[in-house]
Amino acid sequence: MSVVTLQFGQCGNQVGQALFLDLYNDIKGDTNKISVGKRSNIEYASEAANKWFHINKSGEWEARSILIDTENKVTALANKNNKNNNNVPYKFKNIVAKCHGGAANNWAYGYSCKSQLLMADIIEGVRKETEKCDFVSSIFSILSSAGGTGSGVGSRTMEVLRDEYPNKTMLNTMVLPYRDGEVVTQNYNSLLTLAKLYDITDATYLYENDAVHLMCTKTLSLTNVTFHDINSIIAQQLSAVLQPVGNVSISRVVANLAAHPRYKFIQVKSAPHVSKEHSKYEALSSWAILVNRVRTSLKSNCGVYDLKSATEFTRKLKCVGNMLISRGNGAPSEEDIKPLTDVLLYVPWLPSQVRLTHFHQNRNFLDLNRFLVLCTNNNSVCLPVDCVLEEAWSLFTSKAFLHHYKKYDIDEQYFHGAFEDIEEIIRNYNSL
Amino acid sequence: MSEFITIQVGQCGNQIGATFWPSVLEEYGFENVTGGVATANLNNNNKKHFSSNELHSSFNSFFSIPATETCSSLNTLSDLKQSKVKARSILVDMEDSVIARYKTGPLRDLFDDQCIVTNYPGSGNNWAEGFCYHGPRYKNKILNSIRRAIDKCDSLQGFLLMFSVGGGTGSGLGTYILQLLDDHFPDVERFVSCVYPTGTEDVITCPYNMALSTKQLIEHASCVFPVENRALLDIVTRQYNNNKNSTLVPKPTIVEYKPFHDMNNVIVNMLLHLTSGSRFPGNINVDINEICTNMVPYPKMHFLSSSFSPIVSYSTKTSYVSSQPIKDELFRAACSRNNQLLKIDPLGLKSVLLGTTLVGRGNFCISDMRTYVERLQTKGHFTSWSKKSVKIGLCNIPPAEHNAAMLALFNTTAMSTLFSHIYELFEKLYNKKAHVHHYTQVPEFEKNYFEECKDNLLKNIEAYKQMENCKQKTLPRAI
Repeated sequence: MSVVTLQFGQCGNQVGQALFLDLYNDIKGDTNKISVGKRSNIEYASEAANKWFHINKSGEWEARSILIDTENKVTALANKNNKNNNNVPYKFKNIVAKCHGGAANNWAYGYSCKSQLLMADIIEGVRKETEKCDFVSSIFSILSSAGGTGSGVGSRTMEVLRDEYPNKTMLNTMVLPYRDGEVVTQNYNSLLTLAKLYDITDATYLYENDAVHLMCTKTLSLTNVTFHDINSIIAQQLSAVLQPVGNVSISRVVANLAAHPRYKFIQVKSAPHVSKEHSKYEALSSWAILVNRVRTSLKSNCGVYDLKSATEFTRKLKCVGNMLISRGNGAPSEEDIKPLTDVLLYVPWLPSQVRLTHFHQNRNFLDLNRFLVLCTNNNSVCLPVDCVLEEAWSLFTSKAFLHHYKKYDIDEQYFHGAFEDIEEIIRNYNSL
Repeated sequence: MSEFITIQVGQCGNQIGATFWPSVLEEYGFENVTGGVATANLNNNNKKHFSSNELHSSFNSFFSIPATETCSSLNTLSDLKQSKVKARSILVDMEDSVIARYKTGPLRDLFDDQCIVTNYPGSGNNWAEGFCYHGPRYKNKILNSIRRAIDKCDSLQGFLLMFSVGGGTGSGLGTYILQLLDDHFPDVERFVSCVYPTGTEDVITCPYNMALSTKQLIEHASCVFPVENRALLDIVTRQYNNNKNSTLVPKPTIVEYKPFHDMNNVIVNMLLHLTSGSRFPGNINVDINEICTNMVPYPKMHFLSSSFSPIVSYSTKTSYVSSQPIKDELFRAACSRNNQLLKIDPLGLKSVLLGTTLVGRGNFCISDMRTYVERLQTKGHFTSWSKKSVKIGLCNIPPAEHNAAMLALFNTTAMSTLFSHIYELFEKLYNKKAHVHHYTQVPEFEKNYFEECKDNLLKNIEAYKQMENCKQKTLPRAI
């Protein structure tokens, strides 16, 4: 079972590169540290390798990934390891980057214009990748919603791919920009991307730069946070979710988490995250402690928001479904994961057996003794989405920046449609 | 890599160009090409980068390199000459004297003869002569030069126009070319860096020229980065005085005080910072076309106030080590009114910010930028919607002589003071109809140009005023 990845724009490509590095390092994990026997390690490694990489005739590893950008500064570095300029041990062969100038931070420009230039090549690239696989289980995209390329070209591409591959699971990772502003038109772009992709994809992993930044400063105690740090965390969490666990197709399960078409946002929580220096002195935490940490971190990204709306949310936190994956020696007991089976956490209409799905993989992850990751679908996503909507609405009522979008046939009517769609999503989550 | 075509018009434009090209080369790690004291040791920093892939692939942005050559073999000026590297530049002037200096100077081989358009004897400080007479006459020649330059591009990002709006050629022909570009290449962005000769108005018809070209700029440019001579003069004089007072630097003699050269150098540095995001890699790339989307909330409001730090004038070079306090100081300086290339205070009481861009070059990280955004949002004044209108960028490669630098762009309602200033000067002359006949005697000049231009200026000032007074609309979110 393989996954075909699409990396869009600067953010998507940077996260994607970090992701594949983690996946590779995990597969090639230190044989002295792995907690399982040789045979099951080989089993795990070959399954994971087959999932993410194509090994060509001369034995080189090629990532099953398509790199898409409207300029080639980031993709040009794909096969270099940024830090020491050594080549990475695997190759990104499938690069679709035409540099005719970027998408100008304009969703409409990316969606209507830039995507046309790239589409034929992208479709061809996806076809090539899928042909190399025995069985493609899902299409996995990574993009940020702030800029123009990731959001605009990404939206259009996923739309086309949905028609082309109607039966594949489509998972999308979307990174929301800093709320204080990275790009002026970020909220328009986020709004349009959310509206477009929510229906098309089976589930969306939602990341917020603010929340991950907070993680970097709080748990990793970094003072100067760089994008490298932020991308590493996202990559670590995603690979922990997506690496194989036994005989289950994780992407299928993730899609099941978002089974109800009204609720499709998934957030990822994980533990432990310890800074490099501290990790030497850190004792091995028991599963119970890690479960508790994950349980508390369910509320942690509320710290980004003002106190009133945040406390209001922590009180009525309701999950539509959770999936827990533990990686490391010895499975956690029923008692250990009890904090996450609390009835009050879940909406009442959910049958008890689907509230929390738990998977365990004995082989450790990235040479960490224990790693716990939780995919959760709950109503706290309202906070970031509501912020996007609020800011976009404030710009929209002043008619600011609209002329850039109108130039590419995205008129006010279109915006109204998008606003309505997202209001609907928020209303649904709020009513949980 | 994205490419730019620079178009230099008139005496001022070409003089800016004369400082621009050596600085560009210096940024790419070439040794001092102006023939002065070698500054090789200062460039070491960038030389290191130059061998790396990043810097040399970005060399394409301003220069066209024949397909047979590779950038890595280019190290000195004579290498450039040998491998027939040409600057992507078009030089236009209606007299010969400034451009003649290009033809004899050390950089002469960089410019394609086909891309030089000259004439004799100038435009007589008359916008009408440049716009209505020379413009149509040279239209085809200029278009051919532009097409020739475009043919050499793979991915053209924008035109960079440099001219002054005080004289005749720059203002008249410059805005005519701008209009040509808008007509013939509407999809390519047009960036104009124009000099308003306020404070040094040495030409009596200057107010007319300024007003008439401003109208064209409002209509046809994608983004304008206006520069006022009085602001530049202040910056340069302050630099000069600082150096005089400091004991570390040997006192420069009066010979070294070259205000126009230093002033041009300030403009050039601004342009280099502005294009840095398109040319060099960074953690948050700022392509130049993103600046348009982010900074222009409504059509015709595309005049941006620019500033950067450190400003170190050409005759005094010092190297900084960029520690945290110095980085913070760079941010503070970039937003201070003293460093604006216009007489505007972006954080002052009268300025309502419609958009801001901060680009950090060198070792800035995202945490730094977040702090700066926060500080900016507490200090500045905003409309109901523009508080979050901040665009940030990070570029890995610092400018030639420093380890870090910060560029700040503001779209502020205080820009109306520039227009009001022009309007006042214009009215003073126009009320008496002084010198009007010089313009009307040019056959193609239509009489209503003056009235139209007056209306246009007033309309623009009004638009900014409206922005300032705009009350927060509390429309509930549509459900």
